[in-house]
Parts: sequence; structure tokens; C-alpha cells
Amino acid sequence: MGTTTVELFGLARLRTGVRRVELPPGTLGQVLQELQRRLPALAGWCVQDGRLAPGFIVSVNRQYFTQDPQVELAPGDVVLLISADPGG
Amino acid sequence: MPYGYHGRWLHVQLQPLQATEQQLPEEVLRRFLGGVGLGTWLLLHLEAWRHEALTPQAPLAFVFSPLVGSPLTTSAKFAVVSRSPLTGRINDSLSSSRFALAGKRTGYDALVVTGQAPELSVLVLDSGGVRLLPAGDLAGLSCSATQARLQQRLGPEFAVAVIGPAGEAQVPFATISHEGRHAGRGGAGAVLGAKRLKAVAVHGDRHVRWAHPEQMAALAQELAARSLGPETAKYRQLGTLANVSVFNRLEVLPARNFQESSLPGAERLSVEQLRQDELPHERESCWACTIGCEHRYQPPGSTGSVRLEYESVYALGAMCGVEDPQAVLRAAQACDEAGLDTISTGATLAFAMECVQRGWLDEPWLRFGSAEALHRAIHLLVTGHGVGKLLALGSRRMARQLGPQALAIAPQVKGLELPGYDLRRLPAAALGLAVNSRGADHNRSSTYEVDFATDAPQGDEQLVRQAIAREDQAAVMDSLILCKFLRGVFRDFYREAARMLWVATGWNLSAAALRTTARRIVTARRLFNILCGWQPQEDELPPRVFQPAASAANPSAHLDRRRFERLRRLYYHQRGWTSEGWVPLEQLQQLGLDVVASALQPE
Ligand code: SF4
Repeated sequence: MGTTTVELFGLARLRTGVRRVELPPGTLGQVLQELQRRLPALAGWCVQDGRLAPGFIVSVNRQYFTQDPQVELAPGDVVLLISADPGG
Repeated sequence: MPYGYHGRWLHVQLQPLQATEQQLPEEVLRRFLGGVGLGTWLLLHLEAWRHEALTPQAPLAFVFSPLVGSPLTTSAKFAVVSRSPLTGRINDSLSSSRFALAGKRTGYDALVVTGQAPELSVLVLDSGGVRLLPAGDLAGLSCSATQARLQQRLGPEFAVAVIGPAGEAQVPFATISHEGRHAGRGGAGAVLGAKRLKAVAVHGDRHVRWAHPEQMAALAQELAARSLGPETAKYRQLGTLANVSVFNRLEVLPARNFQESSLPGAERLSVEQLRQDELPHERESCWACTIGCEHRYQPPGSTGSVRLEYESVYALGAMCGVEDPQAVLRAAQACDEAGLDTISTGATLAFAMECVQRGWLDEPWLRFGSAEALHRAIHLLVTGHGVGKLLALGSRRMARQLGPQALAIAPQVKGLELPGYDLRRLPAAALGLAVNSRGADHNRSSTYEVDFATDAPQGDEQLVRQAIAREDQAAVMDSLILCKFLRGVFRDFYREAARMLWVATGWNLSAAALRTTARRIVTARRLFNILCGWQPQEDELPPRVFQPAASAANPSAHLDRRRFERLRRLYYHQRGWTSEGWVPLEQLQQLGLDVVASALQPE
């Protein structure tokens, strides 16, 4: 079975030292839960119990942004875990 | 005198030097608030559209706001408002800190300068009135050196806003600098330079009264606590530089003069890489700000540090194809010292690099990816030597000299160079930059927020409604004035803004009334442009954004021309303007802008 790729940016990358994780597909909530299990340094401030912490969103396949844990992710999907505020 | 305000502005004419105090009716303050709004009213009131930006008669306004001096976080800001030498249209830049506080303590809500000093001078305003000090010894000095000399000469109690060599040379994208921060876009520094003012120095001790001081203190505390929440974490922890790696991956990082929407080596410029490389850095904040988004980096071998923002890295790095962070740091430092807008500088140089690439400009050394070329070009631009004279025109005017084919690739709207959002994938940002009165400016527009929202608009009608909502909110934030990076903490912005105004001024404004104020300010800015000679074809984007980027992973990722035109039509319609973007007279009357409506009537 294929995997869903989660890419980390900003503090999530700096605190874990990880850029990319391959995870079993499922809902966004399930993927985040597994992400937290593998990278406990993200717990609380970034992901918590299958949800994104406030201030974070994900881009799915660079097509749309969401925080919804019910969103279904398929094998091959690429999820970018990023800040919710794009201001520069 | 109304609470929160002094209820007057000062008109300083430079030759002969004369200062005239003018009343600000409360009605005007209620309708335009301060900052960008009040600045627009002043320009309309003074019929500033009649004067080209760099002529002596053109007014340059330093405008404060009802919240300046309050303990509300991020409120120590001022606006610099004038006609832009780059666009010929309205320009309103914001800056922060002590100049806002000291400027308001002079006892005025705005300081408007017209005329031209007989020689390079410093305009001083304090309790003794106004005076001009000769500044010949400051000629050619950098922004920081000018600031340091003047603080020494006048004393630390003065706050000074200065120009660097670029402002003196009237480069149309020169900034006004204050303690390392810049009223950056649109060339306010050139306007000051044209008045032969190297600096404006202010000091005063006239405080305003607050209508509800106790509630003000409580609100300030509450807002400060909220400002430290997750909504601002990106800014506090990493700064705007956090956008580099994300935008690059999303393919919305314009590179090589918008030929590309990402840069292979952009990761080298990312905050993640800079931190990993342990480049020395420190965090600072504007005066009275609890967020502190300024992250300064120290180039190796340098004693000073440089504020590094996403927009500077986009323009001086990705746009010019330069991937070496040290080179970008040095270029940002050179721009800061010369008093140059980094966005317009980088985008203009990138445009020139592409012209060289295409054989339209014979400067073979000016190549994409060359750090040496970047630094040399900035130097020439400031000194006006060689090709620098051409570069100092900005991309639009430079393109006009090079021919129509060059104009098609100039990265600008209304003459203002594009910020770091690749519009091919961002339809709301594209719309916002096209119709914005100031030109391609993401700060007054803020519509890019719609493109990044998790509640994506259902259809174009809704997209336009949301874009207008962001633009309106920005108009009120820029008039109150509060920092945009605070926006995420508001749950019901207009209600909360009305409360801030109530504690400061005692006004009981409804959220709906404030939304009307937002519309009034947006419309007044457009009205000013119309009076300057705006034409519908100015609300246009560079043709390039309607084509895919050269190496886009998804070649269909570009803005559809017909869709953009539909969005623009919907925007005009929802704003209540004509199908070409003109403002009907009835709307001017409804918004109380008919004081200038008479100027629209044929003579
Ligand atoms: S968030 Fe940044 S730009 Fe805004 S007021 Fe604070 S330090 Fe200044």
C-alpha cells in the first residue's frame, strides 16, 4: 500500500530535525495522530490528538488548505504542514 | 478637543518657512479615523492631485492616529501619505515607533509639508515651533549615519525620520527611515528629498486624553495577552522569513522576474537553513509591540545586523536568482542604508536581468544568480552612474525606454513593483493587486489571505466578497493604525475596533458604521487616483501571470485571463462602481465624499 507524505516546515522542522515523513493514509486526523506518535516533539503546540493546533493548517497536494481532521487522504497525497498566516 | 486626538494638523510651508495650525473637525476624524484614512482626506482637502509628486507644492503628510500613545499593542505607528513619484497615484506607507509617539506629542494629528527648503535641511518641530537646520554636512550619508548624527546633535528626546542617498537623489522608490524601520513603498523618501529635507525631527510633550482610561488599560492587557497566542507564533518565532520554504514548495515564490514560481536553491535562503547554520540573530520589536516579528541577522565579518524580511529575500534573492544568504543579507543592508525599498529594488534589478538575458539591454555582467551583479547594480542605482540611471527609474519607466516588449515583462501594477506572491495560483491576490489604489501592494490589499484560507470561497462571487472584506479590514487597520500581524487575533474585527475607538475617543460607533468607514477610505483613495488621471487600463496585471511559469510542475497553474476579467467586473459591481471602475457621484455623496465631488464636475 502507498503512503501519504507529510512535509514539515518552520519550527516543526527545526524542533524535530525532520523534513518529511511517510505515513499510512487515512483521514487527516489519523495521519496527524500517527505523526505525533512518531515525532512526539510536535505534541501540544503543533498537533494534538489528531488535530492541528491553532495557528497551523495543511496544504493538500498544493490544491487546497484545510484543518479538517475528517478530510480523507489517499496514498500518494502530499500534505504540507504550515503556518496558518501567510503574511509577509 | 476630542479624546484621543488633538483636533488639529500643522501645515509647514518651507520657503519662506511658515507653520499654520489648522483645525480638524470631529466629523472628519470620525469619518477618516487617522493614518491612511486621514492622510487621504488631507490629500483631497489640499487638492494634492494638482501637483506631481516631486514638485515643491506637492504635500507630504505624516499622519498619526487616535490610538498612538495608547498602551494598545502595535499602535505606535504613523503613515506617510503623498502622491507617489513611482506611480503618480496615491501612496501611503506605514512605519513604527518613537516617531509616531513623539510626532503626536507635538500636539498635532498630522504634519503636512509643502514647498522646498532653500538648501538641504532638517525640519525641526518642537515646543519652540518649527525651524530649518542646515544639513549640508549630512549630504550623502546613509540612513543610520544620518540618524546617529542627528540624535547626537538634537538629543535623544527627538525622534527623527531620515532619508538616505537614494532619497536625496529622488529615486522614485526611496524610503523614509526611522530607527532602522522604513516607510518603504512608493517613494516617500524621494518626495522628502525633492523638498530638500534630509530629515524631519520631532519632539513634544502634549498628551491627548483618553475617554475611558481604565477600560483602555484593561483592553490593552487583554489584547497583549491575545497577541502572544498561536495566531502570531510564526512572526514571533521565525518572522516573515518563514514564508520562503513554504512559498517555494507551494510554487508561489516568484523567481527570476516571475519567469518561475520557485527557485531550486531557495531552501538556502529559508529561515530553517539560516537557523540550522546558526547564523547569529536577534529578535526586536517596534515600540509598544508585544509580538516582535523583527528577526535580525548578522552577516559574517560585520558588526551590525540586518532585519531580514520575506519580501526582501523574495526580491533581492529569488527574483534575482541569488541563492546565497550572505549576498542577500548584504544587499538588504545596502538598501536599508541607502534608503531604498527592497521590493522595488530587487524586482527592478530582476527585470533588468531578464532584459539583458533577452538582449534588450547591453550590460552582460547583469546576470541572474550573480551576487556580484546584485551588489554592483544597487551601488550604481544609488549613485546614478552608468546603467544606474536607468535602474533608478523603476521597472515601468525603464521598460518604457526599452520598448513595448519590455513593458510586457515589467513586474509592476500602476508602476509599483509586485510583492512576493506569485499571482498565477492566487486569484484573490491577483485581483487585489490589480485594483489596489496604491498599485501592486499586498499591505493595503491583504486579499492574498483569501487564497490561503481553509474556508475556500464557493465560486467567484464569494471570492470577490471575501477579497473586499479583507481590503476593507486593512483600510481600518491602516487608519487606526494597528499592525497587520495582529489581525489573526481578532474574532469580530469591527466590533473590537469599535471598542478600541470607544476607550480612546468615547465614540459609540457600531460595527456597521466602521465598515462604512472602511468603504469610505477605500473609495476616497480611488477618488484621489481618479483626480490624478487614473484610467481603467491601470487596474491591470503583467501579461506574464496569465501564462504558466517556465518550469512549473503543473503547467496549467496560471491565472485564466477571462476569469481575472470576470473577477474584476464582479469587484467593481460589488463595490457599487461602474463596469469600468469609476465611482458614481451618488456613492461619493452617500459616503460623504462630495466635498471633493465638485472637483469632478467640468469647469
Ligand atoms: S508585529 Fe512586527 S511589524 Fe508589527 S508592530 Fe510588532 S514588531 Fe512591528
